[in-house]
Amino acid sequence: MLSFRSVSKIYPRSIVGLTDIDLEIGKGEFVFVVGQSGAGKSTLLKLVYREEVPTSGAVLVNGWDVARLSPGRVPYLRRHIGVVFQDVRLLSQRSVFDNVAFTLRVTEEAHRDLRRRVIEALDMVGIADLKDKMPFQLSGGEQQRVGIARAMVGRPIVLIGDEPTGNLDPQTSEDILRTFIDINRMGTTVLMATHDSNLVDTFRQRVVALDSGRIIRDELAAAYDDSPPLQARGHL
Amino acid sequence: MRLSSWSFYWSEAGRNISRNAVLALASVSSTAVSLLVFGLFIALSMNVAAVTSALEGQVGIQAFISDQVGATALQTMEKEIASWPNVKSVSYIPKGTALKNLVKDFGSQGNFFTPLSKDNPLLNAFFVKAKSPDEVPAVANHLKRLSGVSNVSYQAPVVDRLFKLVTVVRLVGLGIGILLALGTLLIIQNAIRLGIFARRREIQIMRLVGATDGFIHWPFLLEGMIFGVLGGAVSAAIIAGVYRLYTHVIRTSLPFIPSVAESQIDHLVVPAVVLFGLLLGYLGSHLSLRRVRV
Repeated sequence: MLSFRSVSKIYPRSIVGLTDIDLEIGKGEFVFVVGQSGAGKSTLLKLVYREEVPTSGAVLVNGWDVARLSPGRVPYLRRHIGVVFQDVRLLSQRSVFDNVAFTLRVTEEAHRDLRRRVIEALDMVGIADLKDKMPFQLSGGEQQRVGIARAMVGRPIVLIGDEPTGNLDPQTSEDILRTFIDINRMGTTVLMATHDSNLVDTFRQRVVALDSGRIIRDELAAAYDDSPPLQARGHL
Repeated sequence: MRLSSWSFYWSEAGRNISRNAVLALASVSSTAVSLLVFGLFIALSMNVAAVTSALEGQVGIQAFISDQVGATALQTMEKEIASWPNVKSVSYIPKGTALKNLVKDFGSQGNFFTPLSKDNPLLNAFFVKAKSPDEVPAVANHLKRLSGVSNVSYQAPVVDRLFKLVTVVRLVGLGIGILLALGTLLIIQNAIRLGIFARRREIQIMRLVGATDGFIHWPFLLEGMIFGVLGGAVSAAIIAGVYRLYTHVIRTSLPFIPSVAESQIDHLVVPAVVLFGLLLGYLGSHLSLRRVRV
Protein backbone atom coordinates (compact mmCIF):
# COMPACT_ATOMS: atom_id res chain seq x y z
CA MET A 1 0.00 0.00 0.00
CA LEU A 2 2.75 2.46 1.03
CA SER A 3 6.29 2.04 -0.10
CA PHE A 4 9.35 4.20 0.59
CA ARG A 5 12.34 3.26 -1.55
CA SER A 6 15.70 4.82 -0.59
CA VAL A 7 13.90 8.06 0.20
CA SER A 8 15.86 11.11 1.29
CA LYS A 9 14.54 14.56 1.86
CA ILE A 10 16.86 17.54 2.20
CA TYR A 11 15.26 20.91 2.87
CA PRO A 12 16.81 24.20 1.77
CA ARG A 13 19.98 25.24 3.62
CA SER A 14 20.91 21.53 3.78
CA ILE A 15 18.50 20.75 6.60
CA VAL A 16 18.08 16.98 6.64
CA GLY A 17 14.47 15.77 6.79
CA LEU A 18 14.93 12.07 6.01
CA THR A 19 17.89 9.95 4.98
CA ASP A 20 17.72 6.75 2.98
CA ILE A 21 14.34 5.51 4.16
CA ASP A 22 13.19 2.07 3.06
CA LEU A 23 9.77 1.16 4.38
CA GLU A 24 6.90 -1.06 3.28
CA ILE A 25 3.44 -0.74 4.81
CA GLY A 26 0.84 -3.29 3.76
CA LYS A 27 -2.87 -2.81 3.12
CA GLY A 28 -4.83 -2.64 6.35
CA GLU A 29 -1.78 -2.15 8.60
CA PHE A 30 -1.66 0.20 11.58
CA VAL A 31 1.72 1.86 12.03
CA PHE A 32 2.88 4.26 14.72
CA VAL A 33 5.67 6.58 13.61
CA VAL A 34 7.55 7.69 16.70
CA GLY A 35 10.51 9.87 17.48
CA GLN A 36 11.42 13.17 19.02
CA SER A 37 10.52 16.53 17.54
CA GLY A 38 12.58 17.06 14.41
CA ALA A 39 13.15 13.33 13.91
CA GLY A 40 11.37 13.43 10.55
CA LYS A 41 7.90 12.06 11.45
CA SER A 42 5.93 14.85 9.78
CA THR A 43 8.21 14.82 6.74
CA LEU A 44 7.54 11.10 6.32
CA LEU A 45 3.78 11.68 6.45
CA LYS A 46 3.92 14.73 4.15
CA LEU A 47 5.66 12.67 1.50
CA VAL A 48 2.65 10.33 1.44
CA TYR A 49 0.08 13.05 0.69
CA ARG A 50 2.61 14.93 -1.42
CA GLU A 51 2.84 18.01 0.67
CA GLU A 52 6.56 17.40 0.13
CA VAL A 53 8.42 15.57 -2.59
CA PRO A 54 11.52 13.45 -1.92
CA THR A 55 14.94 14.81 -2.88
CA SER A 56 15.82 11.29 -3.99
CA GLY A 57 14.16 7.90 -3.99
CA ALA A 58 10.51 7.06 -4.59
CA VAL A 59 7.34 7.07 -2.52
CA LEU A 60 4.60 4.79 -3.81
CA VAL A 61 1.01 5.04 -2.62
CA ASN A 62 -1.20 2.23 -3.90
CA GLY A 63 1.27 1.86 -6.77
CA TRP A 64 1.41 5.56 -7.73
CA ASP A 65 4.81 7.21 -7.64
CA VAL A 66 3.69 10.37 -5.87
CA ALA A 67 6.75 12.47 -6.75
CA ARG A 68 6.16 11.87 -10.43
CA LEU A 69 2.49 12.81 -10.36
CA SER A 70 1.72 15.91 -12.42
CA PRO A 71 0.37 18.78 -10.29
CA GLY A 72 -3.03 18.25 -11.88
CA ARG A 73 -3.19 14.68 -10.59
CA VAL A 74 -2.23 15.49 -6.98
CA PRO A 75 -5.83 16.29 -5.92
CA TYR A 76 -6.92 12.86 -7.13
CA LEU A 77 -4.17 11.20 -5.04
CA ARG A 78 -5.30 13.17 -2.00
CA ARG A 79 -8.88 11.96 -2.39
CA HIS A 80 -7.56 8.53 -1.42
CA ILE A 81 -5.77 9.80 1.68
CA GLY A 82 -7.37 11.19 4.82
CA VAL A 83 -5.26 13.46 7.03
CA VAL A 84 -5.89 14.42 10.65
CA PHE A 85 -3.76 17.08 12.36
CA GLN A 86 -2.94 17.96 15.94
CA ASP A 87 -4.55 21.39 15.49
CA VAL A 88 -7.62 19.85 13.77
CA ARG A 89 -8.03 22.83 11.34
CA LEU A 90 -11.82 23.02 11.39
CA LEU A 91 -13.61 25.88 9.65
CA SER A 92 -14.87 27.95 12.55
CA GLN A 93 -17.80 29.52 10.69
CA ARG A 94 -19.27 26.23 9.53
CA SER A 95 -21.24 23.67 11.52
CA VAL A 96 -19.94 20.18 12.27
CA PHE A 97 -22.05 18.82 9.42
CA ASP A 98 -20.74 21.42 6.96
CA ASN A 99 -17.13 20.85 8.02
CA VAL A 100 -17.46 17.19 7.18
CA ALA A 101 -19.57 17.80 4.07
CA PHE A 102 -16.91 20.25 2.88
CA THR A 103 -14.70 17.34 1.76
CA LEU A 104 -17.44 15.91 -0.45
CA ARG A 105 -18.48 19.30 -1.77
CA VAL A 106 -15.02 20.44 -2.82
CA THR A 107 -14.19 17.12 -4.43
CA GLU A 108 -17.52 17.19 -6.31
CA GLU A 109 -18.34 13.76 -4.99
CA ALA A 110 -21.50 12.08 -3.81
CA HIS A 111 -23.84 15.01 -4.05
CA ARG A 112 -26.87 12.81 -4.21
CA ASP A 113 -26.11 10.94 -1.00
CA LEU A 114 -24.02 13.67 0.65
CA ARG A 115 -26.21 13.84 3.74
CA ARG A 116 -26.17 10.09 4.25
CA ARG A 117 -22.39 9.93 3.80
CA VAL A 118 -21.78 12.77 6.28
CA ILE A 119 -24.06 11.27 8.93
CA GLU A 120 -22.38 7.91 8.39
CA ALA A 121 -18.92 9.45 8.95
CA LEU A 122 -20.11 11.33 12.05
CA ASP A 123 -21.70 8.15 13.32
CA MET A 124 -18.44 6.25 12.80
CA VAL A 125 -16.68 8.63 15.19
CA GLY A 126 -19.65 8.74 17.57
CA ILE A 127 -20.74 12.36 17.24
CA ALA A 128 -23.75 12.24 14.89
CA ASP A 129 -25.79 14.06 17.54
CA LEU A 130 -23.40 17.05 17.38
CA LYS A 131 -23.91 17.67 13.66
CA ASP A 132 -25.56 21.08 14.09
CA LYS A 133 -23.07 22.44 16.62
CA MET A 134 -20.40 24.97 15.73
CA PRO A 135 -16.74 24.04 16.36
CA PHE A 136 -16.38 26.49 19.27
CA GLN A 137 -19.18 24.64 21.09
CA LEU A 138 -17.16 21.40 21.09
CA SER A 139 -14.49 20.00 23.41
CA GLY A 140 -11.00 19.27 22.07
CA GLY A 141 -11.78 15.57 21.74
CA GLU A 142 -15.05 16.24 19.94
CA GLN A 143 -13.28 18.62 17.56
CA GLN A 144 -10.72 15.97 16.77
CA ARG A 145 -13.52 13.50 16.04
CA VAL A 146 -14.93 15.99 13.55
CA GLY A 147 -11.45 16.12 12.01
CA ILE A 148 -11.43 12.33 11.71
CA ALA A 149 -14.95 12.28 10.23
CA ARG A 150 -13.83 14.91 7.68
CA ALA A 151 -10.83 12.78 6.76
CA MET A 152 -12.94 9.59 6.49
CA VAL A 153 -16.03 10.84 4.70
CA GLY A 154 -14.27 10.53 1.34
CA ARG A 155 -13.61 6.83 2.13
CA PRO A 156 -9.82 7.03 1.83
CA ILE A 157 -7.61 3.96 1.59
CA VAL A 158 -5.02 5.49 3.94
CA LEU A 159 -5.65 7.53 7.08
CA ILE A 160 -2.78 9.68 8.29
CA GLY A 161 -2.66 11.16 11.77
CA ASP A 162 -0.01 13.81 12.42
CA GLU A 163 0.06 13.79 16.23
CA PRO A 164 -3.75 13.88 16.44
CA THR A 165 -3.71 13.44 20.22
CA GLY A 166 -0.98 16.03 20.86
CA ASN A 167 -3.36 18.55 22.41
CA LEU A 168 -5.61 16.14 24.29
CA ASP A 169 -5.68 14.76 27.82
CA PRO A 170 -4.67 11.08 28.29
CA GLN A 171 -8.22 9.72 28.54
CA THR A 172 -9.43 11.60 25.46
CA SER A 173 -6.27 10.58 23.61
CA GLU A 174 -7.07 6.92 24.30
CA ASP A 175 -10.64 7.40 23.08
CA ILE A 176 -9.41 9.04 19.88
CA LEU A 177 -6.89 6.28 19.32
CA ARG A 178 -9.62 3.67 19.78
CA THR A 179 -11.47 5.41 16.96
CA PHE A 180 -8.38 5.10 14.76
CA ILE A 181 -8.12 1.42 15.66
CA ASP A 182 -11.80 0.88 14.80
CA ILE A 183 -11.28 2.57 11.45
CA ASN A 184 -8.22 0.39 10.84
CA ARG A 185 -10.25 -2.75 11.62
CA MET A 186 -12.64 -1.75 8.84
CA GLY A 187 -9.73 -2.10 6.41
CA THR A 188 -8.21 1.38 6.19
CA THR A 189 -4.42 1.56 6.43
CA VAL A 190 -3.44 3.91 9.28
CA LEU A 191 -0.16 5.76 9.65
CA MET A 192 0.07 7.81 12.82
CA ALA A 193 2.85 9.99 14.12
CA THR A 194 2.99 10.41 17.86
CA HIS A 195 5.40 10.92 20.72
CA ASP A 196 2.96 9.70 23.31
CA SER A 197 4.66 6.56 24.63
CA ASN A 198 1.61 5.58 26.69
CA LEU A 199 -0.52 5.25 23.61
CA VAL A 200 2.09 3.18 21.82
CA ASP A 201 2.38 0.95 24.85
CA THR A 202 -1.38 0.61 25.31
CA PHE A 203 -2.30 -0.04 21.68
CA ARG A 204 0.36 -2.46 20.65
CA GLN A 205 0.86 -2.06 16.93
CA ARG A 206 3.77 -1.88 14.50
CA VAL A 207 6.16 0.93 15.48
CA VAL A 208 8.59 2.73 13.19
CA ALA A 209 11.01 4.86 15.18
CA LEU A 210 12.88 7.74 13.58
CA ASP A 211 15.90 9.63 14.79
CA SER A 212 17.55 12.47 12.86
CA GLY A 213 15.76 11.42 9.69
CA ARG A 214 16.72 7.74 9.81
CA ILE A 215 14.70 4.67 10.77
CA ILE A 216 16.28 3.29 13.91
CA ARG A 217 13.69 0.68 14.70
CA ASP A 218 10.79 -1.01 12.99
CA GLU A 219 9.01 -3.74 14.89
CA LEU A 220 5.64 -5.11 15.75
CA ALA A 221 4.01 -4.44 19.10
CA ALA A 222 7.14 -3.01 20.66
CA ALA A 223 7.02 -1.03 23.82
CA TYR A 224 7.97 2.50 22.91
CA ASP A 225 10.95 3.99 24.64
CA ASP A 226 11.22 7.70 24.09
CA SER A 227 14.70 8.04 25.54
CA PRO A 228 17.23 8.63 22.76
CA PRO A 229 19.39 7.45 21.31
CA LEU A 230 17.82 4.17 20.42
CA GLN A 231 20.11 1.51 19.20
CA ALA A 232 19.67 1.05 15.52
CA ARG A 233 18.74 -2.48 14.53
CA GLY A 234 18.55 -1.91 10.85
CA HIS A 235 15.39 -0.70 9.28
CA LEU A 236 13.61 -4.06 9.29
CA MET B 1 -18.26 20.33 -14.03
CA ARG B 2 -21.41 19.77 -12.03
CA LEU B 3 -24.27 22.18 -11.51
CA SER B 4 -23.89 21.79 -7.75
CA SER B 5 -20.26 22.94 -8.08
CA TRP B 6 -21.49 26.16 -9.63
CA SER B 7 -23.86 26.72 -6.76
CA PHE B 8 -20.85 26.20 -4.45
CA TYR B 9 -18.77 28.73 -6.42
CA TRP B 10 -21.54 31.32 -6.35
CA SER B 11 -22.19 30.88 -2.64
CA GLU B 12 -18.45 31.08 -1.89
CA ALA B 13 -18.06 34.19 -4.05
CA GLY B 14 -21.07 35.75 -2.31
CA ARG B 15 -19.62 34.85 1.07
CA ASN B 16 -16.29 36.50 0.16
CA ILE B 17 -17.99 39.65 -1.05
CA SER B 18 -20.15 40.01 2.04
CA ARG B 19 -17.14 39.35 4.29
CA ASN B 20 -15.15 42.15 2.63
CA ALA B 21 -18.02 44.45 1.75
CA VAL B 22 -16.01 47.69 2.00
CA LEU B 23 -13.30 46.39 -0.27
CA ALA B 24 -15.91 45.05 -2.67
CA LEU B 25 -17.51 48.49 -2.80
CA ALA B 26 -14.12 50.10 -3.46
CA SER B 27 -13.45 47.63 -6.27
CA VAL B 28 -16.85 48.17 -7.87
CA SER B 29 -16.60 51.98 -7.63
CA SER B 30 -13.10 52.16 -9.03
CA THR B 31 -14.09 49.83 -11.87
CA ALA B 32 -17.13 52.02 -12.50
CA VAL B 33 -15.04 55.20 -12.63
CA SER B 34 -12.48 53.85 -15.06
CA LEU B 35 -15.13 52.27 -17.26
CA LEU B 36 -17.11 55.51 -17.17
CA VAL B 37 -14.13 57.43 -18.55
CA PHE B 38 -13.52 54.66 -21.08
CA GLY B 39 -17.17 54.68 -22.22
CA LEU B 40 -17.44 58.47 -22.35
CA PHE B 41 -14.32 58.67 -24.50
CA ILE B 42 -15.79 56.11 -26.89
CA ALA B 43 -19.03 58.11 -27.08
CA LEU B 44 -17.08 61.35 -27.57
CA SER B 45 -14.89 59.94 -30.31
CA MET B 46 -17.98 58.46 -32.04
CA ASN B 47 -19.56 61.91 -32.02
CA VAL B 48 -16.49 63.72 -33.27
CA ALA B 49 -16.26 61.10 -36.02
CA ALA B 50 -19.92 61.72 -36.89
CA VAL B 51 -19.30 65.49 -37.16
CA THR B 52 -16.21 64.86 -39.26
CA SER B 53 -17.92 62.52 -41.66
CA ALA B 54 -20.88 64.89 -41.98
CA LEU B 55 -18.50 67.73 -42.80
CA GLU B 56 -16.51 65.52 -45.09
CA GLY B 57 -19.64 64.95 -47.15
CA GLN B 58 -20.02 68.66 -47.38
CA VAL B 59 -16.48 69.40 -48.39
CA GLY B 60 -16.92 71.56 -51.31
CA ILE B 61 -16.07 74.99 -52.54
CA GLN B 62 -18.56 77.75 -52.43
CA ALA B 63 -18.08 80.34 -55.12
CA PHE B 64 -20.19 83.39 -54.39
CA ILE B 65 -21.31 85.26 -57.47
CA SER B 66 -21.96 88.98 -57.49
CA ASP B 67 -25.54 90.06 -58.09
CA GLN B 68 -24.51 91.78 -61.34
CA VAL B 69 -24.07 88.46 -63.14
CA GLY B 70 -27.19 87.64 -65.12
CA ALA B 71 -28.98 84.33 -65.56
CA THR B 72 -27.45 83.52 -68.97
CA ALA B 73 -23.95 84.25 -67.74
CA LEU B 74 -24.62 82.05 -64.73
CA GLN B 75 -25.56 79.13 -66.98
CA THR B 76 -22.39 79.60 -69.05
CA MET B 77 -20.29 79.75 -65.91
CA GLU B 78 -21.86 76.54 -64.57
CA LYS B 79 -21.13 74.70 -67.84
CA GLU B 80 -17.54 75.95 -67.88
CA ILE B 81 -16.85 74.90 -64.27
CA ALA B 82 -18.41 71.47 -64.86
CA SER B 83 -16.05 70.95 -67.79
CA TRP B 84 -12.89 71.33 -65.67
CA PRO B 85 -11.16 67.93 -65.33
CA ASN B 86 -10.68 68.19 -61.53
CA VAL B 87 -14.33 69.04 -60.82
CA LYS B 88 -16.74 66.30 -59.79
CA SER B 89 -19.97 68.29 -59.64
CA VAL B 90 -21.39 71.79 -59.71
CA SER B 91 -24.69 72.92 -58.36
CA TYR B 92 -26.20 76.31 -58.36
CA ILE B 93 -27.62 77.63 -55.09
CA PRO B 94 -29.76 80.73 -55.52
CA LYS B 95 -29.56 83.13 -52.60
CA GLY B 96 -33.22 82.43 -51.72
CA THR B 97 -32.44 78.73 -51.19
CA ALA B 98 -29.32 79.64 -49.19
CA LEU B 99 -31.46 81.71 -46.78
CA LYS B 100 -33.98 78.89 -46.40
CA ASN B 101 -31.17 76.45 -45.58
CA LEU B 102 -29.82 78.86 -42.98
CA VAL B 103 -33.23 79.16 -41.31
CA LYS B 104 -33.55 75.35 -41.34
CA ASP B 105 -30.08 74.80 -39.84
CA PHE B 106 -30.86 77.02 -36.88
CA GLY B 107 -34.07 75.16 -36.05
CA SER B 108 -36.26 76.96 -33.54
CA GLN B 109 -33.88 79.93 -33.52
CA GLY B 110 -34.06 80.17 -37.33
CA ASN B 111 -36.91 82.72 -37.07
CA PHE B 112 -34.21 85.20 -36.20
CA PHE B 113 -33.38 85.34 -39.93
CA THR B 114 -36.99 85.81 -41.16
CA PRO B 115 -36.76 89.63 -41.48
CA LEU B 116 -33.92 89.13 -43.99
CA SER B 117 -36.22 87.46 -46.53
CA LYS B 118 -37.41 90.90 -47.71
CA ASP B 119 -33.90 92.07 -48.48
CA ASN B 120 -31.76 88.93 -48.74
CA PRO B 121 -28.11 89.94 -48.14
CA LEU B 122 -26.78 86.54 -49.22
CA LEU B 123 -25.24 85.95 -52.65
CA ASN B 124 -26.03 83.41 -55.34
CA ALA B 125 -23.41 80.69 -55.27
CA PHE B 126 -22.03 77.66 -57.02
CA PHE B 127 -21.34 74.67 -54.84
CA VAL B 128 -18.42 72.90 -56.46
CA LYS B 129 -17.03 69.51 -55.44
CA ALA B 130 -13.54 68.57 -56.46
CA LYS B 131 -12.73 65.02 -57.57
CA SER B 132 -10.42 64.58 -54.57
CA PRO B 133 -9.76 66.64 -51.41
CA ASP B 134 -6.19 67.35 -52.65
CA GLU B 135 -7.53 69.24 -55.63
CA VAL B 136 -9.75 71.54 -53.59
CA PRO B 137 -7.16 74.39 -53.37
CA ALA B 138 -6.47 74.28 -57.17
CA VAL B 139 -10.18 74.36 -58.04
CA ALA B 140 -10.69 77.21 -55.57
CA ASN B 141 -7.89 79.25 -57.18
CA HIS B 142 -9.31 78.58 -60.60
CA LEU B 143 -12.74 79.77 -59.45
CA LYS B 144 -11.27 82.96 -57.96
CA ARG B 145 -9.95 83.93 -61.40
CA LEU B 146 -13.41 83.74 -63.04
CA SER B 147 -15.03 87.08 -63.62
CA GLY B 148 -18.17 87.64 -61.60
CA VAL B 149 -16.93 85.53 -58.68
CA SER B 150 -16.81 87.78 -55.63
CA ASN B 151 -15.54 85.32 -53.07
CA VAL B 152 -14.52 81.67 -52.73
CA SER B 153 -14.55 79.62 -49.55
CA TYR B 154 -13.90 76.02 -48.69
CA GLN B 155 -13.79 73.96 -45.43
CA ALA B 156 -10.94 71.57 -46.12
CA PRO B 157 -8.72 72.86 -43.31
CA VAL B 158 -11.62 72.47 -40.83
CA VAL B 159 -12.13 68.86 -41.83
CA ASP B 160 -8.45 68.25 -41.63
CA ARG B 161 -8.35 69.65 -38.12
CA LEU B 162 -11.38 67.55 -37.14
CA PHE B 163 -9.69 64.40 -38.36
CA LYS B 164 -6.71 65.28 -36.20
CA LEU B 165 -9.08 65.94 -33.28
CA VAL B 166 -10.64 62.47 -33.65
CA THR B 167 -7.18 60.92 -33.50
CA VAL B 168 -6.23 63.01 -30.46
CA VAL B 169 -9.51 62.19 -28.67
CA ARG B 170 -9.00 58.48 -29.36
CA LEU B 171 -5.37 58.53 -28.22
CA VAL B 172 -6.08 60.54 -25.08
CA GLY B 173 -9.07 58.28 -24.33
CA LEU B 174 -6.98 55.19 -24.88
CA GLY B 175 -4.15 56.53 -22.70
CA ILE B 176 -6.42 57.54 -19.83
CA GLY B 177 -8.40 54.31 -20.27
CA ILE B 178 -5.26 52.18 -20.04
CA LEU B 179 -4.04 54.03 -16.94
CA LEU B 180 -7.40 53.73 -15.22
CA ALA B 181 -7.73 50.09 -16.26
CA LEU B 182 -4.33 49.37 -14.71
CA GLY B 183 -5.38 51.10 -11.51
CA THR B 184 -8.61 49.11 -11.45
CA LEU B 185 -6.69 45.90 -12.05
CA LEU B 186 -4.52 46.64 -9.04
CA ILE B 187 -7.52 47.36 -6.82
CA ILE B 188 -9.38 44.21 -7.90
CA GLN B 189 -6.19 42.20 -7.51
CA ASN B 190 -5.73 43.45 -3.95
CA ALA B 191 -9.36 42.83 -3.05
CA ILE B 192 -9.09 39.25 -4.29
CA ARG B 193 -5.76 38.77 -2.54
CA LEU B 194 -7.30 39.85 0.76
CA GLY B 195 -10.13 37.39 0.10
CA ILE B 196 -7.58 34.65 -0.47
CA PHE B 197 -5.80 35.61 2.74
CA ALA B 198 -9.06 35.57 4.69
CA ARG B 199 -9.84 32.11 3.32
CA ARG B 200 -6.34 30.64 3.51
CA ARG B 201 -7.44 28.03 6.03
CA GLU B 202 -10.29 26.85 3.85
CA ILE B 203 -8.01 26.77 0.83
CA GLN B 204 -5.48 24.73 2.79
CA ILE B 205 -8.19 22.22 3.72
CA MET B 206 -9.57 22.18 0.17
CA ARG B 207 -6.10 21.33 -1.11
CA LEU B 208 -5.66 18.67 1.52
CA VAL B 209 -8.90 16.84 0.80
CA GLY B 210 -8.28 16.87 -2.94
CA ALA B 211 -10.02 19.89 -4.45
CA THR B 212 -8.68 20.71 -7.90
CA ASP B 213 -7.06 24.06 -8.73
CA GLY B 214 -10.04 24.95 -10.88
CA PHE B 215 -12.42 24.29 -8.02
CA ILE B 216 -10.38 26.47 -5.65
CA HIS B 217 -9.95 29.26 -8.19
CA TRP B 218 -13.48 29.61 -9.54
CA PRO B 219 -15.05 31.42 -6.55
CA PHE B 220 -12.28 34.06 -6.73
CA LEU B 221 -12.59 34.41 -10.49
CA LEU B 222 -16.35 34.80 -10.11
CA GLU B 223 -15.83 37.40 -7.40
CA GLY B 224 -13.58 39.46 -9.67
CA MET B 225 -16.02 39.14 -12.55
CA ILE B 226 -18.90 40.24 -10.31
CA PHE B 227 -16.89 43.37 -9.37
CA GLY B 228 -16.21 44.03 -13.05
CA VAL B 229 -19.78 43.51 -14.24
CA LEU B 230 -21.26 45.58 -11.41
CA GLY B 231 -18.76 48.39 -12.08
CA GLY B 232 -19.53 48.09 -15.79
CA ALA B 233 -23.30 48.19 -15.18
CA VAL B 234 -23.02 51.30 -12.99
CA SER B 235 -20.88 53.11 -15.55
CA ALA B 236 -23.10 51.94 -18.43
CA ALA B 237 -26.16 53.37 -16.68
CA ILE B 238 -24.36 56.70 -16.11
CA ILE B 239 -23.09 56.79 -19.71
CA ALA B 240 -26.60 56.11 -21.09
CA GLY B 241 -28.08 58.83 -18.85
CA VAL B 242 -25.38 61.41 -19.51
CA TYR B 243 -25.56 60.76 -23.25
CA ARG B 244 -29.31 61.33 -23.32
CA LEU B 245 -28.76 64.64 -21.55
CA TYR B 246 -26.05 65.57 -24.06
CA THR B 247 -28.17 64.76 -27.12
CA HIS B 248 -31.12 66.66 -25.63
CA VAL B 249 -28.95 69.77 -25.14
CA ILE B 250 -27.32 69.44 -28.57
CA ARG B 251 -30.60 68.92 -30.42
CA THR B 252 -32.31 71.89 -28.84
CA SER B 253 -29.40 74.36 -28.75
CA LEU B 254 -27.07 73.32 -31.59
CA PRO B 255 -29.23 71.30 -33.98
CA PHE B 256 -26.81 71.70 -36.90
CA ILE B 257 -24.19 69.58 -35.07
CA PRO B 258 -24.78 65.93 -35.91
CA SER B 259 -24.81 63.47 -32.98
CA VAL B 260 -24.79 59.69 -32.75
CA ALA B 261 -28.20 58.19 -31.90
CA GLU B 262 -28.81 57.04 -28.32
CA SER B 263 -29.66 53.57 -29.59
CA GLN B 264 -26.20 53.29 -31.10
CA ILE B 265 -24.64 54.13 -27.72
CA ASP B 266 -27.00 51.66 -26.00
CA HIS B 267 -26.16 48.88 -28.43
CA LEU B 268 -22.44 49.48 -28.72
CA VAL B 269 -20.90 51.42 -25.83
CA VAL B 270 -23.04 49.96 -23.02
CA PRO B 271 -22.27 46.28 -23.80
CA ALA B 272 -18.63 47.15 -24.51
CA VAL B 273 -18.28 48.77 -21.09
CA VAL B 274 -19.90 45.82 -19.27
CA LEU B 275 -17.81 43.32 -21.22
CA PHE B 276 -14.63 45.26 -20.54
CA GLY B 277 -15.56 45.29 -16.84
CA LEU B 278 -16.01 41.52 -16.90
CA LEU B 279 -12.63 41.13 -18.54
CA LEU B 280 -10.91 43.46 -16.05
CA GLY B 281 -12.45 41.55 -13.14
CA TYR B 282 -11.40 38.18 -14.51
CA LEU B 283 -7.90 39.38 -15.25
CA GLY B 284 -7.52 40.99 -11.79
CA SER B 285 -8.53 37.74 -10.07
CA HIS B 286 -6.42 35.62 -12.37
CA LEU B 287 -3.30 37.70 -11.73
CA SER B 288 -3.96 37.64 -8.02
CA LEU B 289 -4.34 33.85 -7.97
CA ARG B 290 -1.14 33.45 -9.96
CA ARG B 291 0.73 35.83 -7.73
CA VAL B 292 -0.20 34.12 -4.47
CA ARG B 293 0.01 30.71 -6.16
CA VAL B 294 -3.18 29.43 -4.63
